[in-house]
Amino acid sequence: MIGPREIRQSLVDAYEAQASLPSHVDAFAAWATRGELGSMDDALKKSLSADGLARRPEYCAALGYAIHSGTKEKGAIDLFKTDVEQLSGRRFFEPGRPPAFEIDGVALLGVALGLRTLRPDDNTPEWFSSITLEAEKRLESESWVLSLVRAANYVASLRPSLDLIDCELRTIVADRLGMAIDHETLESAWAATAKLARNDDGPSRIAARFAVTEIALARAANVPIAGMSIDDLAVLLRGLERSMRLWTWETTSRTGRSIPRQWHVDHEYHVQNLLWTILAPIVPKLEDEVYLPSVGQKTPRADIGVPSLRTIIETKFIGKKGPAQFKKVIEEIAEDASLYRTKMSDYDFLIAVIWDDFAQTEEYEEAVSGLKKIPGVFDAVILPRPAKMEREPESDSGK
Amino acid sequence: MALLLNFAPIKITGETRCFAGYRPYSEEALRELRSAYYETHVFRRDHENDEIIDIPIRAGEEPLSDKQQEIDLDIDRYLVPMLLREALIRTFWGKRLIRRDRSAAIAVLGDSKRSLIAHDELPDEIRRLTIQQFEVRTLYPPGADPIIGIVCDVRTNNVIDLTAAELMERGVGLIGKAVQTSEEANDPRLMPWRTLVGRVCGVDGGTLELEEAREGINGIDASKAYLEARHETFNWVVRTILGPAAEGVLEQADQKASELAKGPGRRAHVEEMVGYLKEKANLELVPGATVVVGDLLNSKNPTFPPQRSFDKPAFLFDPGGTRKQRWAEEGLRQNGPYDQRWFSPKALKIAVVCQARYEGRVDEFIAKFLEGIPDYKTGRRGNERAPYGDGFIRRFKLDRPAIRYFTADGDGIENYVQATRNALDAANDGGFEWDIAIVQVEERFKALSALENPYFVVSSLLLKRQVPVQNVQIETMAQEDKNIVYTLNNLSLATYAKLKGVPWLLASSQTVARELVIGLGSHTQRSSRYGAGERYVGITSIFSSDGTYLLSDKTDVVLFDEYADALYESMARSIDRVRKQDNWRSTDKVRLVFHVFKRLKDTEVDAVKRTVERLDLDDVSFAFIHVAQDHPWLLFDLDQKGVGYYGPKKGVLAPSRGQYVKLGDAQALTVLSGVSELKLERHGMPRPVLLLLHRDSTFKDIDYLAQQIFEFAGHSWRVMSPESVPITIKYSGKIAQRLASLSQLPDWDPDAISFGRVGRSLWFL
Repeated sequence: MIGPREIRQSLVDAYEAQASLPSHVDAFAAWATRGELGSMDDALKKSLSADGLARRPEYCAALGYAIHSGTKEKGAIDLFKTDVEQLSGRRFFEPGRPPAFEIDGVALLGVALGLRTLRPDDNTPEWFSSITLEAEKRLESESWVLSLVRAANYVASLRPSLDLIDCELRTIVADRLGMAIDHETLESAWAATAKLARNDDGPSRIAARFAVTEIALARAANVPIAGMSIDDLAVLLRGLERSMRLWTWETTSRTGRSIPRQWHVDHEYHVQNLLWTILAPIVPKLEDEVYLPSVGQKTPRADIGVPSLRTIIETKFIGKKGPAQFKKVIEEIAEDASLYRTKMSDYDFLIAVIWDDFAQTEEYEEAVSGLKKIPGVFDAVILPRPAKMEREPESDSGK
Repeated sequence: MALLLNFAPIKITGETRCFAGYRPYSEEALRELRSAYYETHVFRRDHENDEIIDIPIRAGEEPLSDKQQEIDLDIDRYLVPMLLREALIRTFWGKRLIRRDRSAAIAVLGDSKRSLIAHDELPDEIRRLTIQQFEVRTLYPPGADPIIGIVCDVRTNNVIDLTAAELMERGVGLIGKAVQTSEEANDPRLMPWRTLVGRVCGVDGGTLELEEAREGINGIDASKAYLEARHETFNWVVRTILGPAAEGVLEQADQKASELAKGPGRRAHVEEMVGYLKEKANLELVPGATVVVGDLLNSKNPTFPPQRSFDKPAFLFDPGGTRKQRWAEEGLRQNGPYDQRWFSPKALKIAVVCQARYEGRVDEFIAKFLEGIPDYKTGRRGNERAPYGDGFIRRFKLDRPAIRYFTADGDGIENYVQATRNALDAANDGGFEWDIAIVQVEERFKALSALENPYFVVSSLLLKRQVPVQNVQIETMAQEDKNIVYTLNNLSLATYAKLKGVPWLLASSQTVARELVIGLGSHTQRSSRYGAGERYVGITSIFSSDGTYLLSDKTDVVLFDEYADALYESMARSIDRVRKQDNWRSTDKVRLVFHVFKRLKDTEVDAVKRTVERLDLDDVSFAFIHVAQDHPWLLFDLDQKGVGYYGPKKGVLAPSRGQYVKLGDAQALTVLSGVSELKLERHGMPRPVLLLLHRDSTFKDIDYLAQQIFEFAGHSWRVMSPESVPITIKYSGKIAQRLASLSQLPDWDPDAISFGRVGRSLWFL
């Protein structure tokens, strides 16, 4: 039977097989999957650099997704407003002219999100409502594009609810707008995704299914450990980067009397503590500092053990810059994996969780792919130090 | 890949300095000087100083003008092409018949004794000869001096040198044939030239009575008239004279001509021409300045112009830009059309108009058209595919249509009109409109004038009622499956486009917003090929840079003097409409690219610019490109061994589609239809188009413009294969062709297209 891990991977493969996607589609994928698929940075870069003759409506849509995702990129908001002004004077659905932007659901949803973020209290501009409502009328029923257009209309307050929108898209929109996702919607969305039914809706649908998988698995991680598989554990750990969004790192007081607090992560024991905090409530038999059967004179000691899943979680801390640090970590994990998985051991799998204090994201793909090739390594998660954890000048040299 | 251009560079050796004379310019003076001194001097108009330059070309001669100045042909290289052309004429004068083709080509007729057509009973005056063309051209390599050379090409030419009277004596009937008069050329070294005067409608003694004739001419003396030697007329004369023996003779002649048109034959002949120039011609520009002719330019030579191969254009099958394919047909099969999510109506109402006697065959054909022919497959075993396995309905994601047949009792116009009226009445009575009408015609209708052709009469009726028309010949319907599948592919595409469907758009990597690509064309509205006083209609077709056909506009029917202004007004109107649709501000950067089938004059370019200036756009750049099909350049791919599995290989030495050679910053060759697009082996060698960028263009990136033209040639909704010219020009030409025929019908209403909704479709495909 195909498990969530395989579904997730097949969606990643399908998305990555798409050649050079337009920037707004890439931005949609990054928006829907919270950056797991697509690249908001690339989409933004393209959208900000296209000027003059090369400026097309899709760039405005990409900016809309970026703005809703909270981009701090300078100029994105101004350029979005300029684009919107240009679009507002255009005529759409002109007879004899093939519709493009006006019938492109991904583009319309992006612009709707941008408008909503920048002008949450304003009425939707008439030019926009006229084209999205017209698009809704023209599109054939029950199509994915129609759902996207309806979602745009919902975001633009032109539809009262998410009804009649495809359940997968409904789940994503609710998730990204911070709304509650009811169990029934999520269940049908996950059922639709898990079927991996063939469709010809293209990369936006693939990204949407990926997002649904992530949301469903995140939800599944809340259920008792009896239902958790090693797949679920890996998904949970991969979601750590998202968890760090609200990590305590205050530069000013949050309340009248308090003083600003900053929770530093200085070495791998801090990382272990972080994992323990997350896992202990849902993994009752979690073990720390696990001593494993000796190998000759060597008695290996693992960081965290999950005996019910026969899995070791090994933490590492990269405190210096450069590819050599990753090489060193890979060597250490390779050694750990071979020591932990002896015939006498109760553990078969290892998941590596690595804190990178210099957020060298350009190294991750190669490092993760290398680690996963080591026998026994089930998965590897690298946590970049969040940008908001600004470093004090003297600590620049690392730990 | 090794390429060969039919261009032989030259060098000048010896004494390159001489004296030239200068006198004020007047047209009359120039003509008189040329006429009196063609043997001793060469004359040129110097536009810059408004003078006539005369250069002595015979030893011992002096310049004719008092004002004289020393020139050096190594420095004053602009004088070399003119002197070289004159040297070529001197070389062949007295040995062969010479004429000037185009503006500057020297055409030398082959030896009369080596006619491609031969039979004892065929008079010597009826010949098919080779015609060798020599044209002086210049390459402008980047960062180096221009290279002057001679472009050599060979064609065949039919010659009928018997007068109309002599032909009649031999039993050749002339009724319905076009006739010409023969007039002496201004330069006595050149052959007399022929002018069309009209079509023979009767013979009165020795006088030919003419119709559709030049103004003021009703008849012509048969002993002074010559038949126009068009292919079909020439063959007909041969058939009349030789009787049953003609077929074999003509076939043999066609075979010889075909050998010359194919790569190896053409290359050998061109190399023979260059060999003659190198070894025997003794070309001299002025006394003492000798021309050394080099070998044809090969891409291994470092002076060969920059060349590359364009990728096939990618086509887009959804508005989001995520479905792309470089093979349009496969793209349609995999993705469906671009507008499948909103195309309406899905269930079409189709009227079929056909002759009653063919109803069964038409019915069978319509079934194949709609449902496809899944059983006919091509390709090697294990890799077979059905070229038209899906059919119109599935390919374009449509529902089952409602079809009704309206039969004509015969093949006459009145029969077709009655059947069509029945169809229109049925729609009227039923309270609906036909989405399209499919009309069965016959191949022979093509030879009929618009007034006599049922297709045009029926088209006129239907278009006036806003119903687009697709005609299909009964002979096509009767084809075997192996042939008809390709016809059906094209037919299904054009039909969908006529229904205002959007099969795909261009997914060009260089697509930019606010760039319009504009095709300018025209058609003459007249009842004959020969008459004066024609009226003109200008056509403007506008596309966005992603190949979207936005709109076309046409001028009113105007006289030639008013034509240019009317065309520019129509163009401005179209641009303004797009500008409003797209909300261009006056400060926005905008690019306008004009594709034109003829060379634009400076005054025309200036007029276009002034017209656009009135649109209040402050930052407009222009590119004016002449897409020339009639030019002397040939490109051989020396590594091309030919294509095809069975029989003789097609296109040996022919270049591939997308091959690009940059002759200079303002001229380039591009192969729009190459070796793989050749239909038959005898079709010879495809010729690239020559792109000429007008010097007043403000956007000058010829690489970009050439690639755009290449992509626009591959983006036809008329046929699946690439067109021989970009659709900007093709569509304008098609509109012109259709309107020219329809406008001959007394009941035609041009407003049906100008203002009706059918005018917004590609009704003309």
